[in-house]
Amino acid sequence: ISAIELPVGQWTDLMKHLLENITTTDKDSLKISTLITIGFVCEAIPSDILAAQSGAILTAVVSGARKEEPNQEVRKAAINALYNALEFIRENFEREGERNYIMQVVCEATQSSDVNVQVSAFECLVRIMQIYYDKMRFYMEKALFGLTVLGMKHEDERVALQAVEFWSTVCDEELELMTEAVEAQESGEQPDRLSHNFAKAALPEILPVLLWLLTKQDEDADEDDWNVSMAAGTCLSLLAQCVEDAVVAPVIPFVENHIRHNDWRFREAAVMAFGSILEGPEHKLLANLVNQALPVLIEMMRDPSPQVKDTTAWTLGRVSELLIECIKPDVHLNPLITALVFGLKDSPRIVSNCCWALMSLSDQYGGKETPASTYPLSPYFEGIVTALLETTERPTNESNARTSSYECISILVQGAALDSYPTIQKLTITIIDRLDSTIQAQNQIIGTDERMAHSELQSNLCSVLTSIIRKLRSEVVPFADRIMTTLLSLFSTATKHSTTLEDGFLAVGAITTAVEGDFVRYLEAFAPFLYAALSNHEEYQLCSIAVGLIGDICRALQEQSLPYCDTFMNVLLQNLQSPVLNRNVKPAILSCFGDIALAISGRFEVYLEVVMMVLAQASTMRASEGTSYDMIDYVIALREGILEAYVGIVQGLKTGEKAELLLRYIEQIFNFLNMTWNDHEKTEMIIRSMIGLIGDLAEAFQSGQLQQWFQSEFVSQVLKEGRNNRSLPNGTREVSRWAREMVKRASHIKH
Amino acid sequence: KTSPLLVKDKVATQEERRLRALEDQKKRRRDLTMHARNLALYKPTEVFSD
Repeated sequence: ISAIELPVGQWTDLMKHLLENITTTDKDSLKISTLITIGFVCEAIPSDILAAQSGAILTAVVSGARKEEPNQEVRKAAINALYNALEFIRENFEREGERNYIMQVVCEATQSSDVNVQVSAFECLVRIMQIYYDKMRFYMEKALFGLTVLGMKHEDERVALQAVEFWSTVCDEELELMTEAVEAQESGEQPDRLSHNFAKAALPEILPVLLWLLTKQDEDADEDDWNVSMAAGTCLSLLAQCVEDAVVAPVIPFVENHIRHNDWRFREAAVMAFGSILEGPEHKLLANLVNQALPVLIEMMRDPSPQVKDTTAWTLGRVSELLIECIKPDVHLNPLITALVFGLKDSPRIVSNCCWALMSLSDQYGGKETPASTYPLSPYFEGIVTALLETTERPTNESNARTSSYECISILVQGAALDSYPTIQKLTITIIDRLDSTIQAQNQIIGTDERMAHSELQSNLCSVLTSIIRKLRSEVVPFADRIMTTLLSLFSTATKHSTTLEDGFLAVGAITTAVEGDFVRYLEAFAPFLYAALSNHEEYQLCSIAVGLIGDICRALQEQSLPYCDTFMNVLLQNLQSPVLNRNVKPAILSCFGDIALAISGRFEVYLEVVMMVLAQASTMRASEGTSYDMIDYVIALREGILEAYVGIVQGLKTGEKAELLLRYIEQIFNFLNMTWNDHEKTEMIIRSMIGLIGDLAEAFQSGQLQQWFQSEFVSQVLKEGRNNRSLPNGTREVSRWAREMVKRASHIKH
Repeated sequence: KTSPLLVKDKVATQEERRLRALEDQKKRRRDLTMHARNLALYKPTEVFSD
């Protein structure tokens, strides 16, 4: 209630009554309730609202937290209230005297005889470190360092957890400061804040404790548990990123001494320690160690302890993702992949970790744009895919194992070399068969959970299918009829709200690119599903994908799309006017106008007037000062869409020899370009499209009709930016070169 | 000690797929317009793709 009333000037005497409660009552229960209330009020309201009373509030809270307070329940409530008020009392904390007192009270509370007070006090220290890192140097030297190292060794796990969390927070803050320092250096400035390098200074003290805590695993811990060994692992990983090379030498003896220990706890802790330090230190420092460790880790995938295998699989995932150069294909790849494929038969957690490792290997070895004839995973490709397909047959998706396996197949397909295409073709049939089976099983589903699982399975299958189609391109043509038949049955059975439709549409989009003009054969049957999705304004993500699909279809069909364009345009224009449809779909609709114009060239004439009016209207949208990031992003997306529309229209009409129709809109286009250029919120994509559009206009009007526009100051600036800005990517520089040439030709007319 | 796959939920996966498709569409659109521009600038044999 106070969060609502205090900001509008009501309930002005609330804090007065609460503070009276603390000072006048003898009832501890009332004190506790009042402290809890004060904490919540401070947390919930902007600090300026009770600024005048902040001193009195702080005094009341801190007096309850002092060591002189006999009731430890009251003390704990006071410390919790202080925790909640830490942002609120920022001005008090800035003053050294008040800060010293607060810190003294909190530090003393860590030594309370009551463990609950200790836990709260450490929680408070974590929060203080998070908010007031810059002010902590003095207190670290005097007290916090010693208190927290002792706290990590505390017999009560709740205290130890908070003390470890304290050091994780120190590392988080210092990592953030490292990033800020790099950014400042890149822009030739001094960083606003400096790191005190607490983590580096504390390394010799905290590292042995963290390593010791790693051996305190809970044998029966499940996924949702958080215990001290997990906290220590997280802290060690942050510490490695923070202190970099310095972490390696002290950790390695621990790994070497315990990796073959009889007790699984020590073996697991050794692997965990090794896996945790793989990010941060220089690769050349780790390379030799990883090289030596790989055979041992591979062997440990057969360890009798499930915990050891789980951590080993995670470590192999980290090596594959972070240190691929340490994996020598001729030495390590065969045993590594054998171990990972073996892991696919293990528990769901291990499956997910093994999939992650395999995906990283595929990402890093796999070809990107143009597939190579072969690659290091080629000899294993079929074996891995077969093993993953077996894993996907598990009846449940525990620990995301089934989804991970499908995602892994998709990534493998994306990275595959040409010699794996026969396997991918076989996989195509398997995936279509499975999709068909899920469609047939649709009527037997009972209950929401089963329905969701079924929908997720169909989405995963569609996603693999999309990857296959994108990979095989024209080689998927022999399967196209079967794929489309299956997808059309999928659409006719899917519910209006399921994401399966989205994933199916993405597969159709991939098919349009693969079969190009032949897609016309499927369009009559597919169109009703497309129109339904375009009119489904509640499911705006689906609607957005459907809009993109119109673009895909037009690109594939070119002028064959003409018979459908009236309907496409009507639906798109209706959607633009819809008050229900999420605004984020609208930029995609504008881009789609450009796609249609490109496809039907001069025949776009009939839509020109209305589209130009829509574009003029959209151009008026601006993000005013102090607006939200969401709004800024939206305006940027809108301008990208407008530019894509103009580019498509200019190029389309030029191809159809109807460019002169644009003359009455030239002022509109150049005014938009000028306004966009003068707005500081410009993406690289916007600059590139602007340059391209200027070039397109120049190419369309080579007889000097636009000469005066090309001579305007901002046009020279746009073209100069494309020429001189070395940070722009090659694509933009290429567009820029082209546009300059076109403008030159259009500006030097022989009359 | 959690692989990114283990904690990835359906919403995140779905969003990745959408973004990938959107990126693909943007690329194809760019390739198409760039192709037309290159045709205007160079002889057909010299045409390059973005």
